[in-house]
Amino acid sequence: MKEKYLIAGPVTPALISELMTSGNEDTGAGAVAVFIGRVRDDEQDERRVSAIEYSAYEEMAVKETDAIIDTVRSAFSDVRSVVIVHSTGIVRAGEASLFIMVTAGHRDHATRACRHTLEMVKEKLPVWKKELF
Amino acid sequence: MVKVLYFGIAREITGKAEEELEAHDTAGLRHLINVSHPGLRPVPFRLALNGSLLREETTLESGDKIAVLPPFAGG
Repeated sequence: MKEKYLIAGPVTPALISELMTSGNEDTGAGAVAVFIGRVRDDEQDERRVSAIEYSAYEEMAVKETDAIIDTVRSAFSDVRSVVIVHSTGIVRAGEASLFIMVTAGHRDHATRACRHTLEMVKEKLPVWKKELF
Repeated sequence: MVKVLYFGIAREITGKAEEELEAHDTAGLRHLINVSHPGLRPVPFRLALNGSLLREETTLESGDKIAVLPPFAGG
């Protein structure tokens, strides 16, 4: 089954909870590292961001996310799973628009792989944003 | 003819999500896009061919799908 990496709207607390407990049966994963990216209410030209509208090139996003996960798993031998979910559509300030979770046997690869995944997502995922005020 | 897809600020500037253009290679396509949509000239876009990022200019075949990709802003 193809992984679903893009969702419409925010990454909700319910989805985060579901994703974080989905690997509980893997008793070999001693470390779980999570990054959650949220929309920040930046001030721009004396206006405050109230939401961001995300758009994506879905066909390419799936290919690039597959490649990111393959790269991370190859680079960090102790990694057992990599989960990436990015929002499309409108996400309000304070809501989550990006979820990354890496499980590994031990904390070193979990934390470093999570950071590496984040940097690759920011560099390679064909996603664009438009600030709303 | 190739199908050209516009994303992000490129979609806003052109006012189009996609269009069909006649081009035999990506260099020619870039020129045609800049002539047809001069507002895109300051935008440092990259191209993807059939869903894969292009790292160099290449020839195109009829039916190819080319995406115009402004700088990414995810995460």
